[in-house]
Amino acid sequence: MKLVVALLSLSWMVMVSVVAADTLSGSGILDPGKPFRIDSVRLRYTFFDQSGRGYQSLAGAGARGPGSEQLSVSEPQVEVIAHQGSRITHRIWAPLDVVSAASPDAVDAISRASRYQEAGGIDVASTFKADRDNDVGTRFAIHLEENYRSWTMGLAWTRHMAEDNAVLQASVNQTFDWFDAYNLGGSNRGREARSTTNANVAFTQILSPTTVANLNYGFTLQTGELSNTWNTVPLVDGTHGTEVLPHLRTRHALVGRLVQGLPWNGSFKVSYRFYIDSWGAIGNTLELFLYQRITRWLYARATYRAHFQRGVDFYTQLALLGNAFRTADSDLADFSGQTAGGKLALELPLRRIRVLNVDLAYERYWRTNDLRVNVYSASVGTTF
Amino acid sequence: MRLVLVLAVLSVGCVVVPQNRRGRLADRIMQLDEDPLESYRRSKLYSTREAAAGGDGVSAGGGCGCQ
Repeated sequence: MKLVVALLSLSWMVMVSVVAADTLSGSGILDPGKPFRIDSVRLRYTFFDQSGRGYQSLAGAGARGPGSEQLSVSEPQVEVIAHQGSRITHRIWAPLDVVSAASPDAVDAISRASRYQEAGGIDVASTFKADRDNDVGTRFAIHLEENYRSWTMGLAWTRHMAEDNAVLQASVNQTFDWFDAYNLGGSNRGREARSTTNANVAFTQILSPTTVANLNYGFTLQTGELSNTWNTVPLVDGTHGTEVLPHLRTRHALVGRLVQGLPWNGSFKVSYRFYIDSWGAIGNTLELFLYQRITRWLYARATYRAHFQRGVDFYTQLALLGNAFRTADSDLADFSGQTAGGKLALELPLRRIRVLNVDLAYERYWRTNDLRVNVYSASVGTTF
Repeated sequence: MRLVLVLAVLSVGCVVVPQNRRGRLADRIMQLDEDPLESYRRSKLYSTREAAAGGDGVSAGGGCGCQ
């Protein structure tokens, strides 16, 4: 099964690459004689293998759970970056997700969306260099699933200051989602909608020839049906009810990052993130990356991440019948999570193409509330 | 929060590293975002499994709708 999914994913990546190359060729991007040029093409394939148990799932659960959260995700991505003249850069990116058992407890009388999902999208971001110090950008994206449609558009502005030693970036994104909603009995209760408005401000400063610092603040406002509509909640009377979430959520995230070069041809990155939202969730996340160049064209990376989360106010493993809001989703509970992993990356200079990039990575994510994910990822790309 | 923003704005131009001394910063291992595709797969892992993920340059929500 995994092999079939991998082969399907691979064929999809090849197809998208061919279509992208053909389209770009038609518009002159592949012709070196014209003012269009492909800068890089990159493919990445990732496989997520998840196991654990959560109270939102009924799969293999007793009367009051928890049920299985076993699933796997096969995720190919392709990215093409191209220049149009000297001032416009396009990034064309197409991710695909094939999810097995997205929520195995659901009663899919009409849809099979909770058991097996294929989701794909295309995201086009274009940047225009307005003058020496200012860039403006646009973004359009669509995302399709069996029972789900999503459309995103965005605007971005970048200001380069102090001879490019400091960069200020601001962006706004708006996403609209439409999806089918289901009752616990499996009947379709019509279309639901969700709106997500996201604004970000980021500031990057070079502090020394080997040090860069970055500060990022993001605000997100979500309205509409924020549940997937098939998560269940154990009730005190021994039955199960649907998850009920507020129809408004405001979220704030502040991230500080620092990159420091090390004297032995390595580098060190540290990142701290604070998150708070109107549902009562609070997060503190520390991330560390250690890089070491082994040769000029080969480097290794070690990663560690620790995440401490206070869950939402209305998380419960056994809800009262009169609760206005309720969720038993283990992702919204109190927990701490850790990730550890490594990566080996090759950057091979070749004659016809400037650099061939290949990498292999593995990470393991585990949580205190019974969830584990093994992540395998591989990438191949070329820079022209 | 305001203090951090004020300090960030005031720090502009405090340090100016000339272009000919920034060679090391061009190395991939010195990039803040080493690989956007890898950043996406990492943010996907966390934003679909943690209530307190997303919102920092990555639109929260979308996808599986499990948040």
